[in-house]
Amino acid sequence: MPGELKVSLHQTGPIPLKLDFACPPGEVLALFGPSGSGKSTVLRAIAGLYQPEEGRVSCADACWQDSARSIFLKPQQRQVGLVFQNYALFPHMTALSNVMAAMGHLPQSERGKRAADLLSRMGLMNEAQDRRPSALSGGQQQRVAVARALARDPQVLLLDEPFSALDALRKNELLPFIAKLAREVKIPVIYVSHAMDEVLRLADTLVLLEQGRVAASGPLEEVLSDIRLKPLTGRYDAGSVMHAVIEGHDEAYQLTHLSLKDSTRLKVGRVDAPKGSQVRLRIHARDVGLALTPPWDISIQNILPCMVAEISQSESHLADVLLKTGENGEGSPLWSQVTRFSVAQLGLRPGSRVYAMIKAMSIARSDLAEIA
Amino acid sequence: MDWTALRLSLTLGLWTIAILLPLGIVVGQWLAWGRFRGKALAEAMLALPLVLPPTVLGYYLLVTLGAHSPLGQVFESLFGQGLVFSFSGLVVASVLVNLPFAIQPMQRAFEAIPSEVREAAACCGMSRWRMLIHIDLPLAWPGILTAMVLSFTHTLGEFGVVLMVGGSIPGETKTIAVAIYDRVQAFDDGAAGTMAALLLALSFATIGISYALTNRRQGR
Repeated sequence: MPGELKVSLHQTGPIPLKLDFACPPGEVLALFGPSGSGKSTVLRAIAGLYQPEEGRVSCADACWQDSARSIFLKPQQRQVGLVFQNYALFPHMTALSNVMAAMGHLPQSERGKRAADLLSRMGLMNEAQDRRPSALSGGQQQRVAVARALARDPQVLLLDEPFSALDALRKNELLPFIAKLAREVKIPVIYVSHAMDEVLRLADTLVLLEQGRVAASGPLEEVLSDIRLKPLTGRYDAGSVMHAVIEGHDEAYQLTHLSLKDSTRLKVGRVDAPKGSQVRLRIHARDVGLALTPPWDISIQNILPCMVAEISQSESHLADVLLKTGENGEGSPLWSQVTRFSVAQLGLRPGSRVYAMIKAMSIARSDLAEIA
Repeated sequence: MDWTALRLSLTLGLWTIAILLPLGIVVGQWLAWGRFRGKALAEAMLALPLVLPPTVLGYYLLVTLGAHSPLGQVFESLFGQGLVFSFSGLVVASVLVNLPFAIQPMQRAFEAIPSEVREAAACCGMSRWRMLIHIDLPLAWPGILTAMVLSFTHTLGEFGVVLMVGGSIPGETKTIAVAIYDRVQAFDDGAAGTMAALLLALSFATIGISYALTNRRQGR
């Protein structure tokens, strides 16, 4: 029976760690942070490849590590599937044998068929299954690595920057595939990354790591919309993340109409997903302009009535303005980045009614992800 | 042509690699992946036969394995026969002399296996034993082959240590290298020449086969 993964790690060095988090089955948790923040170490500790000074790692009913009781199970004794950053495929084996190698728990006679089925499900067809890793493309290698990780019928799936070795084209091809898979496996999925566009499309929960500590954690939308975490989530990526439903498509003008939870409507470039789909959407703060009266004669399609909730002024020329959509600020949080000069000129302060203007084209394909 | 000496040399070579194969795998892995105090010292000790004059090594072996040494006495009480001036003593000496030739290539081969690949194997649930059979040995096998070929050919040609520890007892300790020396001393240039040429051909063939196998593997 799949169960919740609970992780609690503490150590002072060589890599300082101080973190606690849990991930229920069927959820994708992203460990996000700059390189050196300890995210790969956390993954290795869950897999049993690294033993921190103090820690408790348990999955469902099984205790994998408890330093208080001197328990530390080897990777072989933990049912984990780990996809390594560079896949770490066995170079002397075919794709099929790579997957079969992780099926020690099954009778010999079943392994071949199970491995072939698994690889086919991963989209790696018969001919490629008999090739060695060196004769496979980066994308195919990733599929083999994921199949091998799942071959053991793991209780937890761990992904260590699975897209970092792929070019943008392959990454865009495989991201939806991994996203779909992660939701199908019905076990906790822990996913390490430093690329926000991947996190947005894959994760439900976000744990922000900073020097081995949890700087923030929670549902993706909440953590990413918290502008105070901007130094960690990336200045360029600062913005708000919200849920929306696809209301319909405008085929003539190649637009998609979205409806936010307070039924505010947004128009974005044509999205390749059916009507009624749930999507996650990110609006960059720098793409949101502000006006005191609704402008009529401009090209910008999305003009949302909002209320100013908070203004945080930085020392530079910029200010971050937290808005709540809706006439009375009853809707989703929305961040806008404008100059401090504009804040002064418009006389903005908490409670001001404003109109947020968002260019439809500023919401790029990578800012929008279909979720289950 | 001394066929007995040739057969003895080949038997000695096979015994040597038969012992060095498991020993080299264990010690090679230990040195490649182990982290312990005194590792550099252990490596230096194992490399010593490379630079030590064979007579010096032979002398110390005589002293430690001789009938008056504790080791020699234990062996004699167990097998009713001394270690020095016997074939068994020759095998012991040959194994010691060949330690660096066997262990170093294997150690390098194991070190060349990416640690991630072994970690992946552990995460696939492979036991140490399955990992050895399915991952370590297949990936390190060119190095293991090189180690075996080097040890074998080096055994065929070993002279100083053999003479010191074994003497030159026909059928017991008189190897082909010693036989060549023996023939030269007796001004029997014909026999010496034949045996030398045979040894040359044999060494060339073994080295050549191992290079061909290794290249074919890497070329694939």
